[in-house]
Amino acid sequence: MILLKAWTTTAGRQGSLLGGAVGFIYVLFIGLPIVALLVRAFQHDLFWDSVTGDFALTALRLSILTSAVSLAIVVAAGTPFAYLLARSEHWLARLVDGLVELPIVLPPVVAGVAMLMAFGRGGIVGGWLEGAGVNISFTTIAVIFAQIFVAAPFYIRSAKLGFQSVAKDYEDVSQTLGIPPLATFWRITLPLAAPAIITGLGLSWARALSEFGATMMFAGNLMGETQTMPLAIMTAMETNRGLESALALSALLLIVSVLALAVLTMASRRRWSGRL
Amino acid sequence: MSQFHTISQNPMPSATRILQGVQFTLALAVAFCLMTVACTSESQQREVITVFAASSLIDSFRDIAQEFEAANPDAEIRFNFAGSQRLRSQLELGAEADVFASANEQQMDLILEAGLLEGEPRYFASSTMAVIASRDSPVHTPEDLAAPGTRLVLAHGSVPAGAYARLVLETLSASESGLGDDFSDRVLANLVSEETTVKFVEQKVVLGQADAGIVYRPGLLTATADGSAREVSLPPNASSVKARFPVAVLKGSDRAALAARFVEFVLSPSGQDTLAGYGFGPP
Repeated sequence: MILLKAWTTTAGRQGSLLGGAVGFIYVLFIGLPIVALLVRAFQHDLFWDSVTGDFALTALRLSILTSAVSLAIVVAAGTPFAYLLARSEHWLARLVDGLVELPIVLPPVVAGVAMLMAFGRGGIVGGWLEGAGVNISFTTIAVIFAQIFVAAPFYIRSAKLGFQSVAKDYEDVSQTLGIPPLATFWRITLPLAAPAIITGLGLSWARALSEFGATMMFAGNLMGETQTMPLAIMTAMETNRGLESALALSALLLIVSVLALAVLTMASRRRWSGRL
Repeated sequence: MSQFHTISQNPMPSATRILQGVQFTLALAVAFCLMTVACTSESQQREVITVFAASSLIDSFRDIAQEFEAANPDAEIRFNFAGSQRLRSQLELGAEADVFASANEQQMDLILEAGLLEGEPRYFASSTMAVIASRDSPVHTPEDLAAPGTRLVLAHGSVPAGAYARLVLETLSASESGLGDDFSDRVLANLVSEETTVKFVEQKVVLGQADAGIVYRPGLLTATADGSAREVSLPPNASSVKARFPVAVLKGSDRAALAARFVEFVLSPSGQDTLAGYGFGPP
């Protein structure tokens, strides 16, 4: 018995040693490229000129605008939808539940081609829209479409899991006490599901901001209209002596993303921990 | 008793089965190893060279490679097709290749300046630029390119095809073609996307997503051959803009001799015939 205990402790120690070593290598593997990117970007004399230039700022403005609009639509439509998916036992809801996550595994380029076939000129809906004088492909709206398509599943999945973690009993008790359903949702369900919803917000926004493949296919690449940060980085990278500019834009996008996620996490902690 | 039987008898067959399974797996593994060795030794016999070529050369260079491989059974050509500016950027960042075929002089010169060339670049083909329009496009004359609402797609200015296209527009603005001094500006105001290779320009027009674009003549001929797009003729002076394609062996090529032989083959009557068949002009 003692022998066994000694053995497990040694195994445990060896295990944590191994885990530590692997973890260290992993952190290096992830951290090194990011450090290299920042070092190389800041080393360059033209860093400041690059990030404050028209090219970078136009792309950044477009990226922030489109991802914000996409996220607003995803939250507005996705929240009630996620709640329905979490609560409904209907077979149709189960079926839709499986389909919702499809865009996560779909390569973005495929998503772009698919959107062209649906909303592009001569597409299933696009042809009809064009008759009505509405054109989507090659516009900022196409950028938003592409972002919603790829980013929404991350929010819906996370929010659904959040709602599922809230026992239906709480809602029932609240309603027995005479609080109307909507107020119950707002005051009981939402605060309890908040951590998962915030996670979903972060993931979804990050995915929208980084969207590249579907945007290039469906929205094209034009400064000020459809050229978001990832497309601007690619364009800079291919321009002669554009590596520095591409590095500067990458660093800028990295910093903006990290800052936004930090603010989101902090704000959510303060707000919801204060309420509960 | 019956229970005893199930316990005592069943492990025997299953153990045999496991052994058989192991044997089978081993046999498969051995066979796989032998196959890999065989394949490796075969490809060791064949010399492989990597050619970085402008995407406008996709069809013609694939044909030329097939002819080259037929004439040199011990050689194998692998391609990386992309916009010349992307290939140049990849080479500058250390991509290993044996031959670089660019769609303009500028990208080749940058590779030369970076000290990445083995020999002198040699021109092997030329092309004029042409306006491609989708089947249902409202664009029928050059003037239509400047009409409000026309959706124009060009390659980005850093892409050779994009640079040539802008040059064509400038030429037409400056000339007596009657299109006006501001023709280029009016056309560029209709630009809805700047693509990274000329192939994406062709594709967006053929799919009808854009009304018109400016591409190389060979690309236009391929797209119009099956009626999926049509040409909009330009005034004759547009053909003063000539795209010229240089090719060169890259420094550090392990198979410089074979690479040089491929370049010679592109320049040979056989290679030139193939290029002419796709609509390229003589260098």
